[in-house]
Amino acid sequence: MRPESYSLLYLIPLLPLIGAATLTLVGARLPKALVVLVALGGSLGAFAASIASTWVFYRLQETPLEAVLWEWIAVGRYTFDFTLGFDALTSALILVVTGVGFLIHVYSVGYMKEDPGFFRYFAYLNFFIFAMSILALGRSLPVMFIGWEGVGLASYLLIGFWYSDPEKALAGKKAFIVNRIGDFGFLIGIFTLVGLFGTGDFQLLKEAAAGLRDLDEVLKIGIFAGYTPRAVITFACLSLFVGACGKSAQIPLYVWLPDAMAGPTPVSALIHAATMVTAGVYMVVRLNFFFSPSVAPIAMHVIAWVGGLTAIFAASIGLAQNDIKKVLAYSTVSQLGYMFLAAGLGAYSAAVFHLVTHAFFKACLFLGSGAVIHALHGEQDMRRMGGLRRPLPVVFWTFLISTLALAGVAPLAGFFSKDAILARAFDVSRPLWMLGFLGAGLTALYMGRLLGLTFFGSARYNAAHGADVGHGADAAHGHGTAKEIHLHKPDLWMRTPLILLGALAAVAGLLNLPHVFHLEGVAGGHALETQWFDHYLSSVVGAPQVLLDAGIEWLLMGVSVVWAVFWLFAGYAIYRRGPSATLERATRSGPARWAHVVLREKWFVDEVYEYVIVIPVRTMASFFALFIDPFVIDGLFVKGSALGVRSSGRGLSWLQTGNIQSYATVFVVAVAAIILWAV
Amino acid sequence: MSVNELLPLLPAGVLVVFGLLLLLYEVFSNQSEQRRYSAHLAVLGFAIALTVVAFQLRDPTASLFLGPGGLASLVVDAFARVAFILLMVAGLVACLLSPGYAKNAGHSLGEYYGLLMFSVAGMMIMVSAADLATFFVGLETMSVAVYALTALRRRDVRSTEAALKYFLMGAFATAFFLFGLALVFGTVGSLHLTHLAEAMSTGTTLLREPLLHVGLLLILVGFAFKVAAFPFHMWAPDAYEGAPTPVTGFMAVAVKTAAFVSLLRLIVVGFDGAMSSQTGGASWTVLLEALSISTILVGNALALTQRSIKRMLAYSSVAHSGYVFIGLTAVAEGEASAGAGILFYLAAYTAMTLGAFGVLAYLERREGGSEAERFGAYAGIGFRHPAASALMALFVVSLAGLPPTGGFFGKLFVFSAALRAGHTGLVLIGVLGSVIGVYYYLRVIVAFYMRDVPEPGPTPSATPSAELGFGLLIAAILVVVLGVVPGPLIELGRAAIASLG
Repeated sequence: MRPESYSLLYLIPLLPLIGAATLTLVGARLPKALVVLVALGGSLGAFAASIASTWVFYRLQETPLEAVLWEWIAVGRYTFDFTLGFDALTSALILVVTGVGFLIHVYSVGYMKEDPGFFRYFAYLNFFIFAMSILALGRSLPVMFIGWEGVGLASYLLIGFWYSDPEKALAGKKAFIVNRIGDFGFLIGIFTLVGLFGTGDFQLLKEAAAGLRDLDEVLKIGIFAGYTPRAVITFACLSLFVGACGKSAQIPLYVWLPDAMAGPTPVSALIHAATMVTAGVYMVVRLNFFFSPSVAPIAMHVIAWVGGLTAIFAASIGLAQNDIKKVLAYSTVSQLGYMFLAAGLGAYSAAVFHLVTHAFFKACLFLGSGAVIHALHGEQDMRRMGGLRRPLPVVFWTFLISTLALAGVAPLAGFFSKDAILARAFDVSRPLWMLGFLGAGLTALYMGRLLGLTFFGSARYNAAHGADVGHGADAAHGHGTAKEIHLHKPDLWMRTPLILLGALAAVAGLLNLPHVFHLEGVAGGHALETQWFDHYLSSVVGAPQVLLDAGIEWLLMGVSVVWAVFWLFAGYAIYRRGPSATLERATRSGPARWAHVVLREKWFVDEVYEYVIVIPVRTMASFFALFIDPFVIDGLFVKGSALGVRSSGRGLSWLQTGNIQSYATVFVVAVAAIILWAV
Repeated sequence: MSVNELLPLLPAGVLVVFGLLLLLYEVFSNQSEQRRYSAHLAVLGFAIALTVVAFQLRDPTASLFLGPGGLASLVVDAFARVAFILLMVAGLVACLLSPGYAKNAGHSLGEYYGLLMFSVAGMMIMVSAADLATFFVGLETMSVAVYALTALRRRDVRSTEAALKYFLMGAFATAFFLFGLALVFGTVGSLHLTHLAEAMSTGTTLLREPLLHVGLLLILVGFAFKVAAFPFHMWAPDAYEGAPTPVTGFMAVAVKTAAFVSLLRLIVVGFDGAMSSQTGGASWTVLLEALSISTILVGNALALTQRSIKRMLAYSSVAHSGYVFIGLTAVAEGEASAGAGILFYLAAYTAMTLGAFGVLAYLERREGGSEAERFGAYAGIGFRHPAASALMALFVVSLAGLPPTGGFFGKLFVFSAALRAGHTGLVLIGVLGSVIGVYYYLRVIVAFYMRDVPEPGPTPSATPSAELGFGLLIAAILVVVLGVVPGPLIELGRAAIASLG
């Protein structure tokens, strides 16, 4: 379908960019109310523009929209336009980004109101919305890459927002460095595809992919002569997936995300749960004509398995964390694993659907945890919470809904999206389904534990306060230590987004009911509309498939719900009175102790990286710094060549006497030499 | 010939009229309080002329002053119009940068702006001349005006010395150039580019005539002098250092642009874009190549050892001429896209160099130091003049050729065109030179931001003049826009090159 030109697309990134620029330049001098106005205006404007674009898209019978802003780079035979595009997939992501983004802006007004960096915070946040919308709207790989790097920058700035605390600054740095590794792969992938097809434009790439006649015919010309297109595309896909692993925190590059919780909690909700970290999933689905079982089967296997393993692995770590945000962070890593599992199996719309519902319930969970941390003056250790159900009812109820949604309890949003993924896995690969299914149990268990520790039982925050347990990542946000904690109740700014997100977490599943719900005569004589979202995305990812027999599907759904409720309840039951003394005794010795330590210490992955990568690299660096650099690089190359250049400069300066006669002499000699040489 | 036929030259006419007006204004306003409006008058003139060009940009090619055989002396085509815009933007920004500086240096003179406008009018004749005699008239109009501009601070010894050196060397170079014209006329029998092209085309016996080659080489020497290419660059640092800083900026960009653009026309039209093989002993590409390599290496090496920022910028502008020569080499081999790259390069170069000199003019004034200030004198200035220093950082980053600035794309376009023409070695030299450039350009930033201030410097007293702020803003916006949206300008450049036929 030829895209329809719709130039107003540029408003989506432009409005938050204006907000960010205004706040950066004059934010320090603006009164707080004006900062709020500019920041909310930027994000709400982007949201409104996204809705308008979606409406236009819908009215035009879902013809893709495009806005060619300018010819960006034209070098040799490559031309890159700065083009924005808008199709069904874009609309799904951009509505989440700007909608949830706006809600989190609102929440932040309440959460950050006493922070001296208020305007700076909103400048970064608006910048993030700008970069993320470039990522979502960019119609070519290079434009997407700008957004990709932009959100990375925003993430780095916001993780290290309280940069005077070295630990937080370090977390920002870690995120940045780990993402560099991923971005390197991403770039290699871009170069490979551009090298093979001569374009980075998604539309043209899609046509080129469709036009490839034989994937296994060895190329004879071009830079990839000697390889088959399939091999090259597989290589590109794997490289791009390295980028996705970095951005979307998959094994082995997930290590930065838990540390990223050092940022303000609304940032964790927006960037490190709802939107940015899903960029990798979005990219894979966007390029589904390459990331497809028929084109690059090996790459798809890798993606599905990395996703499945990440799902269960991260969930297991989540079981033994005591920091409320860390639990949610590992949960995010695990849920992202589910999305990649789906994408790797070719269930693209299921992956995107889970992306959307996850954005709702995980954002709500993070904001809820933020409200808890805010109420407790920066306390993040769940062992010193408890009993918050009564003083914080709004937080509790929205948190509960989102927890049920995450655990996959029917009929909340997460149930439908996770079930779609598990159904596909069951159909295609039983081992992968097993991973997903076990992961779902673990998810329910750690969420039950979190819920029990935080909201039930007796209030432990008064007694334990001041004891040295854990380090609140939001501690800088705290308000000093008081013996008797006065709970900071969330204000209206914070409550409204919680309620809206909680509601979305509850009902978003209706967007994509499984086909088995296609029952005659339920809704006033009509059949229920099922798989609406699958159909909506079909112009991008192809028509939805109905694979499983209805009976098996009902059975799977029933089993999942029972499985989830069972583990949820188990977690709640063990921990509703606070840290379980029985478990503590049980894990004091024997294999149980080891299991506990391994989980608590996150499978020692950070330590392994430290010893296998960081220390060898650092040792090598020291070696170079001590021996190679001063003598060979500095001495021979730098100082030597500098000396050469400098002395030739001096020599030439010597000619530069300031004496006009000598200038004239040089002139004449040069002319004479040229003429002698030429004639 | 009716008046209507002169319309394509209207922009130059506007400049001349405003220049004359400025001289009259100078005579009749005897108080310096009134004189400060002369800058505004000049800016108005440039703005009007620019508007006229903008309206005429899509007009068909106009041939003026037809001579024998129906050949025009002046050709105002898209190429010339793009060059008009470059030159007038340079003039406009230079006018904006001047008043504050001039006031401080005690020479707020109306004739300054008049001279500036006359010189730009001369440049416009140069870039549209289709015949070397007409070109020479433009060249001299420009040169005389610029000599006078250099000498403007007549009580300042260095300024007078610089002007005299520039004038003497210029006269010297002009003599060579004229001699070259005479030789070419003697062999070809005409100075028109079309006749030259005919003579140069394959199979003509003229090509075996050594005097023709000598003539052409001498013409090239004239150009090399104006753009300060090695070894004809020696006047440049002295003249650049001695001249009032805004004039230095203007000389470094406008004079160079005019010379390079007309050389581009000479090569594309006069030599028909192909001069490598048939020219017998003298292979022009080899010569251009040699010029560009030596200019890059010498310019950069000398810039590296300078201790004064102004002198460093002067030498680095020599190096930039070398980069443009890389593009010219590719053009000489028939790679037309290099021409568009050169136009782009010159546009970016205009913005960033004028900007850098403008900031320098501002800081010299504010800090009350002498002009040959060493790097050290600027220690910690980034914290005393944050806005000006941030702009300076932008301009030097662009001069160093780092993205996302116009300087990056300028180099990219020129170098990639040269690569396509097969000049890998030349491009390597260019990149190597850029690396050296990064070192001394970043030294400016280091001095501004990362050196401890010896003692608290004098606190700024006056606010910067609005004109200067406006001028710097224009330059900064151009640098950034060219670095982010290079498409339209390179497109315009391609159209301009295409109009040369």
